[in-house]
Amino acid sequence: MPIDSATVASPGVSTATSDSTSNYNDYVNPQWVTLFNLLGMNVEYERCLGCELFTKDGRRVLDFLSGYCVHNTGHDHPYINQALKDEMDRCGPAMVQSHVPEIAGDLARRLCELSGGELEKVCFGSSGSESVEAAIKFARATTGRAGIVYANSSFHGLTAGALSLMNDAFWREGFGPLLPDTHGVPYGDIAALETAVAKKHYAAFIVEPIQAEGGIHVPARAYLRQAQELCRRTGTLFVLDEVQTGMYRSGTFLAAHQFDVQPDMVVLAKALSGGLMPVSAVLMTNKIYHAVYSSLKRAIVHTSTFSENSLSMRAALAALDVLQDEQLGPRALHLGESFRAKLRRELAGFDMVNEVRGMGLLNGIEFVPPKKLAFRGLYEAFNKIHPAMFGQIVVMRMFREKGILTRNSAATTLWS
Amino acid sequence: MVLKATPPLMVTSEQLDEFVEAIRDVVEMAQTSLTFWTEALAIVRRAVNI
Repeated sequence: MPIDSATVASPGVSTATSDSTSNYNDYVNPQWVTLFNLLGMNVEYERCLGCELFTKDGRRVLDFLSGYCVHNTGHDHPYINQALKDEMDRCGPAMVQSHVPEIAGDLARRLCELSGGELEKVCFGSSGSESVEAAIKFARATTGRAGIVYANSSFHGLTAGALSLMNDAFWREGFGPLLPDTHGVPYGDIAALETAVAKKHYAAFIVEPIQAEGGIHVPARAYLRQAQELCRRTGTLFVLDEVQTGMYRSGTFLAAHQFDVQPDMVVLAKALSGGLMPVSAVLMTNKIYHAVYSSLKRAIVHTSTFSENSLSMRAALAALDVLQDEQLGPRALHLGESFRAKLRRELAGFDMVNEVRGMGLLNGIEFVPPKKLAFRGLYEAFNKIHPAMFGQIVVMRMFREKGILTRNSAATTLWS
Repeated sequence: MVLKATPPLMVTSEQLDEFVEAIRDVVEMAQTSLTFWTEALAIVRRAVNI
């Protein structure tokens, strides 16, 4: 039975009521519609360009969410749009399936050259989750081990395998049993990782170089290098999930470059799409490739229908052109530093702000309960109802009153 | 609670300043005004009634 979302619209806020919204409410996810109406954030966007979103009722919204780091090149970049139009007009082989798609080779070469190290082969997919699944399979095939170690508070995706590498009960509840033999260790805790991998039992350690949805946690400089060293010593593959951190978000093509590590596999997605086409990639060493695709018989032992489609490949190549030609990596590094400095300066007097942290343009502001007794009581009362309540009100006010779209990290959203 | 600030990479200095000013205002309101909290309470009430 569809939920009547109209009854929960926030007073004073115009709410999307078109037929398409109504169809979404009736046939896709009415709970989502209700949540957005409740927060007064259900607006219809008419046009999106660069960092700005324009609503049907004439508002301009500044996007500080970027679709969870999908829009590194902004919304509807004209160069990427044109590249896709040209690709469509070409009427070339989009998904013949039984041929060698040259454009996938061009993209793979470019990704490997930008990544460096020993990453010399690429397996494409359509989403970060799908590529995490691939990385799990490849790690098993390469090492002959089944188990995977992950860092607690990670977000790797919501497919069954990826979800098995996340310890947040909200995402897992009701979907078990998940993959057996996965083991979480505290993020940044090298001793815990050492204990886990010392058994030489696990195929891989998969980790985000900076935890994004976990709350923008930038690890100590040495953590990833030490983790890599432990992995090498114990025959455990060192896998970086760079779905949010990669594609220059942290200032370099991979965050791995900032931490001076050379992973055995890297997962890319989101911004690889140019903000328009679903595409993801597992970058791997030749050793891993040969372990998986070990004979002619196994030439397509892991693949996916849409994985090398020409539109996705073209979008990714165009996105790389934009990121490189417009020097968006160095720009992210430079602007990110001054942005954090300004935030720290302006928010210094507020005891609710505990820390401003991040790297490049992947940044977070951590809030804690206020010291003033009256507000502290309210904060704690809301926290008991739902830990995300305070954050959601901040997000709502930023959107409705300031015209800025942002979000809490997933660990503290209203739906977790 | 961690609020993310992850704009597109071509964001301008002016747009970053706009965010800084906006979040400063909202945090100031949270720390000084009951309105911030009463509105939150109203949302909780509406959510409970759904």
